[in-house]
Amino acid sequence: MIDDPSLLSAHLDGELTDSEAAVIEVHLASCPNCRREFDELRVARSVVRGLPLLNPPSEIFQPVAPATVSESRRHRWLMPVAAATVAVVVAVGVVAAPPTTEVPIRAVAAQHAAGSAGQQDVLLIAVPSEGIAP
Amino acid sequence: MSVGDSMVDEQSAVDESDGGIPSWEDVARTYGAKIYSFAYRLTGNPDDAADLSQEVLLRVRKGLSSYRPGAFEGWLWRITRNAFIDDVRRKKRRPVVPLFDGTPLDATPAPDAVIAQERLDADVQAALLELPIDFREAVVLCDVVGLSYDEIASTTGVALGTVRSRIHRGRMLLRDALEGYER
Repeated sequence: MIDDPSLLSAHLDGELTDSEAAVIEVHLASCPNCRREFDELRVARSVVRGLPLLNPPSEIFQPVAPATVSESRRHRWLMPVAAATVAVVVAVGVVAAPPTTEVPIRAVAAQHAAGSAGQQDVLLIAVPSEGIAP
Repeated sequence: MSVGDSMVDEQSAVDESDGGIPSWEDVARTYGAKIYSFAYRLTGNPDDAADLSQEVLLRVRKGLSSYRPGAFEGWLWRITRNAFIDDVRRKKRRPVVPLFDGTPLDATPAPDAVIAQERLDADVQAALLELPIDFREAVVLCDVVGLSYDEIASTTGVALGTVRSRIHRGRMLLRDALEGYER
């Protein structure tokens, strides 16, 4: 057996000097145990090197703070919940609302007279589309 | 040149020939897939790998202004490795073995041979995640990223002999975990 087995991996990786490599080769030719281990190491090395290069998601190219990404990913499940909640509220509103709210409405903006000159408060009022009765 | 086959992709380095600092876009385009693959092989989780890759590119963007041209890859992989170690320290949890082995960059349609290859890749990924973190890091830097022992020693801040030992012991554990595979 070889004194330092890590020399076998180093030899596989071409990390030994020529003289060191020559010594290892001579040893491998006469030591079946080391030869077998060397071949097994070659397989282990080969399967890792055979792993494919992976296609990164485009989001990694958006240089925002990672915490923001993690946060948004963590809360991604809230989106459908929020959408469902809005849908339920709208549905309940349609069923439970008094008939007067079922007619089309239009929004009119009325200048709010009160207040100092130049103050541009705008009041939005929802009224039936047929208008306000005189 | 190393003994045996080499599946590590040759990466075209960013161009520093004019003595200038590479742009962030160049770095992202040239190394994005390799940084993500490094992160995925170490974490085994697509979301964690994406977060880690984004953190690396963020650090690259911040660091480029003070980067001095000369040894870009060493600088980049030190940033990448440090981001990973920071992430491990922050989370202090074991990686999750994935059910699916990510999306290959060169996805090709295919029959039995490809299915067998995908199964092997998934088993190799699972075996990697079972390695002690120091061994896993050394093996991934060597066999996925393609760094030399010297570069790994510089990137991780450990002695050359330690790098050699970690790679060897990591491979021995992979061998045990993947017993029966021939390649």
